[in-house]
Amino acid sequence: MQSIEPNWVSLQAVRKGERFVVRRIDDKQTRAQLLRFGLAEGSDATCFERLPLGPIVVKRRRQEVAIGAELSEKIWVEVIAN
Amino acid sequence: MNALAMESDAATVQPAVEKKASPQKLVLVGNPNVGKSLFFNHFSGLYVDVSNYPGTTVEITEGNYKNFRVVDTPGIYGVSSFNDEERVARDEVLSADIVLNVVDAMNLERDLFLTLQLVDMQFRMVVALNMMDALEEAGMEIDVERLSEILGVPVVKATAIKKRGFDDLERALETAKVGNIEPDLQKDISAVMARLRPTANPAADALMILEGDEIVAARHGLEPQDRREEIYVARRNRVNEIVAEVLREKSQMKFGAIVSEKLGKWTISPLTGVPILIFALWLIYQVVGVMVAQRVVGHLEVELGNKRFEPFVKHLFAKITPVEIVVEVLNGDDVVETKSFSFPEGTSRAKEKFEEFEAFIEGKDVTQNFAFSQETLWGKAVTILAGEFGAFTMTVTYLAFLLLPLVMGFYAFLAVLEDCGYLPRLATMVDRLFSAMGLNGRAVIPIILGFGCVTMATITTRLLQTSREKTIAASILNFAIPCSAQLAVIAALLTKAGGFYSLVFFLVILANLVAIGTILDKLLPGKSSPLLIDLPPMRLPRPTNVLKKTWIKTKSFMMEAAPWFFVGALIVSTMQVTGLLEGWVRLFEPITTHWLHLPAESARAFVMGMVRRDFGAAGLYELPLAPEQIVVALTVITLFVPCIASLMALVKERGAKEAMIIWLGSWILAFGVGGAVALVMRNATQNF
Ligand SMILES: Nc1nc2c(ncn2[C@@H]2O[C@H](COP(=O)(O)OP(=O)(O)O)[C@@H](O)[C@H]2O)c(=O)[nH]1
Ligand SMILES: [Mg+2]
Repeated sequence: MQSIEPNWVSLQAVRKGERFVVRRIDDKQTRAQLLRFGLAEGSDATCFERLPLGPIVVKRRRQEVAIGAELSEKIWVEVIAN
Repeated sequence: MNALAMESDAATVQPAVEKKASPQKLVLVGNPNVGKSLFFNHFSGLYVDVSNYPGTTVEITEGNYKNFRVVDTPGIYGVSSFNDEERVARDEVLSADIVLNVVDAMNLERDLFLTLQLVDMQFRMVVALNMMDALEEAGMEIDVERLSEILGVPVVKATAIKKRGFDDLERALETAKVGNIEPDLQKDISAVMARLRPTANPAADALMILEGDEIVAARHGLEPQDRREEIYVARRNRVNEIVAEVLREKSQMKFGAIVSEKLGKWTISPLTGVPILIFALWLIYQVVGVMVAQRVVGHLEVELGNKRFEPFVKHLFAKITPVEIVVEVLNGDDVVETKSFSFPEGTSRAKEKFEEFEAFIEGKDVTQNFAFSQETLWGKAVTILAGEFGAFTMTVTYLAFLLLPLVMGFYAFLAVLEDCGYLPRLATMVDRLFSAMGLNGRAVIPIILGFGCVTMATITTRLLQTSREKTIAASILNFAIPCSAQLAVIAALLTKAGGFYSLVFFLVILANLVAIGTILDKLLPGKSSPLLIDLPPMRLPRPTNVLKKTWIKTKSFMMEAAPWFFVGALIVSTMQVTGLLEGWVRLFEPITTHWLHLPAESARAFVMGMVRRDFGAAGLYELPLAPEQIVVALTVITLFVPCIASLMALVKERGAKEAMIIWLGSWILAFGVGGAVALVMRNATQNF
């Protein structure tokens, strides 16, 4: 298992409009489910919307996925330039 | 015929479909919301739910097409066993002769993941590339020939809502093929296949075992392997490569696609999304709550049901049953004259008296109250069938004139919201609120439906993903959500009590609702599943689809629930004629007067509420109550036990044990909280 690099943050900390690369997903089942949505470790997406304390909507190409707050804490990402 | 069927089961790899006498199983597989149901409708000629909400098809639907047996499955993102829907779909897929994989051209990256899995499973298959119209709108293009070449199976363009591409698809089904599989994976699959027991699609079962599916592995007496992650990552990479090769941006996005995207953005952005959500709820309330529930139902139930239909049925029985008919002449809502007619041997034996009766009511607005003589067994039976709570009278009125329009109204609204793609967005907006109660945003649908009919909503808890969530949602519904039959009366009573007391009532119920959810979340073992939902594009709802869907859902609900309303009616009328009803009422009186400080007569309202919740509320309307007492009484009937039909739905969905816990729990909750409210109010106001 990889460690967490200093420049990774949890998806929960990503601001609206920021682009990021998914680096690590902590839960095995979530990893499999997100792989199917096209959000694999290593793939990029943008934070399309975030609701206060609530879910984060992630967009990759035309696919929008809403991810609950609890789940988003298990997803580690690296924010990249737009 | 059997011999032939055996042959086709052997899963020999054939280049083309031969005409066979026995039906082959054609299974429709696709991600949620890609148009599968439209394809199914086309092939089978049957209607199934077409909706814009992931996860609405939870059951398997079958039909026939030529010499195929066509099966529609719940939408899945991959063949596996992550949740109920997937488990249901998995077994259908694994037993397929031919797979029709419906793919949303707009979401190629997501959908091809499943497609490649099906290819790896070595099914004979065809890919239908649906939503070509939307792809065009978005200014994109897919190289279909190349895609077909890479996959090794026929790929057909389609626009299901415009019925385009169905002919090509029918032809393509005759050339369904096994696709191209990676040589490495093929080797691994072959190794597992060698150890399998006889099965319909050995390669598919073998892949499931490689991907760690415990259930499929157990069927072959094997241990599941732990290769899922590795296989998934490789598959994901292949999908991305394929998409990069076949998908091209061709032109600018068209206007329609831009509007859809903007609208989609507004619905989930807090600043615009919250007003949109409030507007949607307000609209539901206005249309279903006010227009349908109060105006339409009010008129239908009284004018058609109570004044025409019921007297008609009762007169049939009155012909041969001793009866006393009390006629009240109405002027608007006021009774201006009352007259009683008695027929000791039934109306057919007293021609003159009956003519007098008919002459009296001629041209007047009247209500007729029938009191059938209870002296004979026959009289008692008539009361059960056609009396005040009779199965042929009250129940029919209730079902046809109250429940039917109401349920239709709710389903129509749900259909519109579903079709335009708003529901998953709504689920996202309310997720935070619901997660405090151990639910996720998806539960918003049963909860909203609960304000229409708790029975209907209880049945809808099927949509939730885990048993734990189903339990929590069903509990909240049956403990704390007042259904629309009750709401009208509650609203009227609250108007009497005034704004401040309405607020108190509202807060008490809300606090209970939240408390029930929170406590169950703490008590029940496990954790509820967090929200992970894909948001489909916003689309204009299609009226024909909305109408069809409303009708289908209403029909299936009525068929499922109606018998229980009859059972409920039979129970109360039997209790009425045997004197049990009065006994119950007397049993309740001390609690009502000493603990709740309400008039003794409200006991009757509570007992009736066990049968039909609005009866409970309506009974209170007649009583002279102080505003504080109104709050207490309404709290009790809102929290009190679900009606008999809901209870039956609860037993069916959640099992007898859970249903009984909820039912008995509501007694404690309703009287406990009601008494507490009474205590506080009495100390605060010293008013009653
Ligand atoms: N624009 C467009 N919408 C479609 C097409 N086919 C289906 N839809 C819509 O997609 C949604 C999902 O359809 P449905 O048949 O219920 O999908 P299922 O969940 O796969 O069974 C509905 O709102 C349809 O109206 C199509 O070819 N073009
Ligand atoms: Mg469907």
